[in-house]
Amino acid sequence: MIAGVALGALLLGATGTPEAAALEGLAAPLTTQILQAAPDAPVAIELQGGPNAEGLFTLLAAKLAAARMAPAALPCDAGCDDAALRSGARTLVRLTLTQTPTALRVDGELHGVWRNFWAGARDVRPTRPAAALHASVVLAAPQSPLPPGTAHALSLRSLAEVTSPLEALAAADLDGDGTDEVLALTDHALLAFDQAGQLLATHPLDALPQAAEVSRDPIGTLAVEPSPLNLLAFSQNRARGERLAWDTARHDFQTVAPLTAPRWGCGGQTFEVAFTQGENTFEPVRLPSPFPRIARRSSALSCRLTPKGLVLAYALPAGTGQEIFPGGHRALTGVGAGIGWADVDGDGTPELLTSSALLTPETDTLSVAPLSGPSQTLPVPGRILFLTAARRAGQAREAIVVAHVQADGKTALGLVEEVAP
Amino acid sequence: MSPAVPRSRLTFSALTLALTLPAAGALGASRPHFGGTATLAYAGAAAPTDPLLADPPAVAALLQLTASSLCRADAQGTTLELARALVQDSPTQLSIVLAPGLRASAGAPLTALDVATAWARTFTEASPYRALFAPLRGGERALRGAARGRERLSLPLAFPWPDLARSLCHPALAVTVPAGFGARRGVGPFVGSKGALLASRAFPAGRPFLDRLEVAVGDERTAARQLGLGRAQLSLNGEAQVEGPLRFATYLLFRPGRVGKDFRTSVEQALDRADLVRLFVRAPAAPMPALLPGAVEPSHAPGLPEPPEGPLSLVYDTTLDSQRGVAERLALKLHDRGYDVRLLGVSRAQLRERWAKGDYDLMLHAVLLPSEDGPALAVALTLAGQEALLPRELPPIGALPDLTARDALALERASALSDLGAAVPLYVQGVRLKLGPNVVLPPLDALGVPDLSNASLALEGQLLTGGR
Repeated sequence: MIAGVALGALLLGATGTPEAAALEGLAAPLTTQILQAAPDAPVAIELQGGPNAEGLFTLLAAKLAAARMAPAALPCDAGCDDAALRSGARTLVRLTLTQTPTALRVDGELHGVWRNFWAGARDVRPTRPAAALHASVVLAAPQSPLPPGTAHALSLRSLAEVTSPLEALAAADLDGDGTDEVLALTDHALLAFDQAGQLLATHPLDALPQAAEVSRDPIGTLAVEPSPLNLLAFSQNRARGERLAWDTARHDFQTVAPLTAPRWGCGGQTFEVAFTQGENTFEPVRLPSPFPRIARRSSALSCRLTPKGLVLAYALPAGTGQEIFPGGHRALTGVGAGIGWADVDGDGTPELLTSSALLTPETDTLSVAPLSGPSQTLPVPGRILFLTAARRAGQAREAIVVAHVQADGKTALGLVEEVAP
Repeated sequence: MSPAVPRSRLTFSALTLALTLPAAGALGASRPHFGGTATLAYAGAAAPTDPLLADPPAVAALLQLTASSLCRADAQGTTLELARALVQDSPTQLSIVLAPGLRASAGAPLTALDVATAWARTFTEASPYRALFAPLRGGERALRGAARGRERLSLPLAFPWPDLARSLCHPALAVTVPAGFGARRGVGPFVGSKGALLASRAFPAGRPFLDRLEVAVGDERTAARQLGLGRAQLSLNGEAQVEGPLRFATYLLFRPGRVGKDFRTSVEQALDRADLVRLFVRAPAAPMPALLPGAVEPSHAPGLPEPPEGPLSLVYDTTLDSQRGVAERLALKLHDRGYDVRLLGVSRAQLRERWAKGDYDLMLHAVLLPSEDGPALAVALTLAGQEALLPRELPPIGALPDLTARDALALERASALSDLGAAVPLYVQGVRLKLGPNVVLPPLDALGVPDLSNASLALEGQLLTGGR
């Protein structure tokens, strides 16, 4: 799941480290303001303001990197312009993060560091690019029923049923109310459900031409691009995909442009991937730095932008996989096609969601594993094929969307939430 | 779809039978793996290449590896294979669009005309499966004129018959073209000779999971041993392990003029179907007291049988392993009642030929009943020599929009008509299939035929207990 610039992000953050969840709400408008000033790349960023500044830098840098701004951190106290020049930067962004009990605020400026040689000793700044930068986020009062860290249990609530096999699952805040909608891609349609299970829209794919070679067990990609919110949907058995926007007035999807290659989304950026022709895997993927290349065909991928950096997990057909996080990686075994990330306990750090590697279990196991500490499991009837996170307005805790195939062959969509034991 | 599907969408899916994707999608927490070689131990003689004769479920499964039908009917819906769309334009018009670029194994393109010609063989070869086309307006003539260009067919119906699309999935209607020396070839998920089959990437429903499937033809003991030793991964027609629908129905046909008065009464009095099935028919099998499985046993009218003077020949199919035993049992039971029955074993082709000519006194004849009971009734009545009843019996069934109601009415009529024709229903059988420990196969289709192109070999990690 990819975090958007949705209003929800502003309302996120309630308990534990509410700031961490709210940083996303700061990073998005800042990026927009910086890009509007049309800076020259590379951009040096000097950011002050305590422990949260580092998290904000990560989010900001990821978004600027996606816009090819080559961001870099610039540690400096005084003489920052000179330091930026020496580092090879052409634009300097200086930001200060301040925190009050109810809000987070960022103030700063952006200016070019190019200097006219003939100006001599006089410090003459270029007039362009230059901009003042401001953003703030109101921290919501705690609404979560449980403080993080307390004993809790997971429970599954049924949302909807889909008769066609599912190819991809995602969640995105289509209407901007802070609560994610659930998006399900089949060979025939893209379906949008709200978190009560109500079908909001059906976007048929039948007009798209068939792929040259189809798969009997097709997969798909469904990437979410924030600001403006775009869905990049690609079904393996179709020759092309679609870039879709949500029409709030008509409550339906609108095709913005065709998509020539499947794209996989991660932290606001998307990357091109390729399906194995006629099969049900992705070809080896070149991941964004600092991740290594996945050298083998993978059956599922999922990544997420966190304040500490990108985290990523993938599964190979044999049930092994890798979990990669800032500063390390961990081998996964016995994992199936359902793989994803969700901040289930609302502590600001997402947990890894996995399903079992079994081909035909009567009951599958959803495993929720934090980066450190014990993992939780929940039995889910049938076989889990997809897992993703869904945000809810005013809550730091995210729900897990589960797509599981039942004994009758239909795919059920369910929502897993933490409840008081 | 969820219950919240808008009405317009429902109508759309009702009209367009481009229904579901391959059922394999429903397989796994972990997805089935593409690749690998498996050996299929087949207990029986080499299978015929003519789909009209390849109707025992095991033979149909084998033939479908290289010659598919337009679609496959399973419990969840219809999976399109050689068809790209089956569209019910109106209640009395079915349009078929073939998948583009179909090529038979020999390389020649497979056109709509080939499909129409292959289906018209049900009439020219006098197959009981011509009953599947009984609702067509103009019968064989309509079929011959059905092709519209290279990839489209249009079937006009004499009356609404919503089950037509699914009856086209019947394995006997697999599309084949002559390939010399009496052999026929089609388009299937695998290509190659019967011994070693290779995955076909051009198959319109997607390549099969296996890269290669080797078919080892032998007897039952060899098949069991190969499976036990791990030399084979699947055994077909040997031991039974996989459960599914029982649609392969065996009837005792008789020629009313030759068997004496009230022959049916003799058989019904002599016969204990449960006993027959338990002792002489290989499981999975079940007694069938009425014309269709699932229909209520009719109450038989009393009669006074008079055995004929001379001997009666009982023709049976030597390629079906249970039939000789059943034929002997019937001969014995009828002998007690004064009939002199002599057995005559023939091949499946000869059996169908004799049936078409009426060249028998008694005959054990098995057919693969379509998954829906309306078309199944049409086939059973045709087999029983009551084809003339079809124009009267089928329209009321086809007029019902709901499938459950159609099946219920068809079963009711099957029960009522059981004693009318020249056929005594005996039993139904299913396929005998056993899987090795690392083979994963979705449930059998609605006719009880396994789709071996959906068989996959599980990787080691996919069979172990999950966990992180």
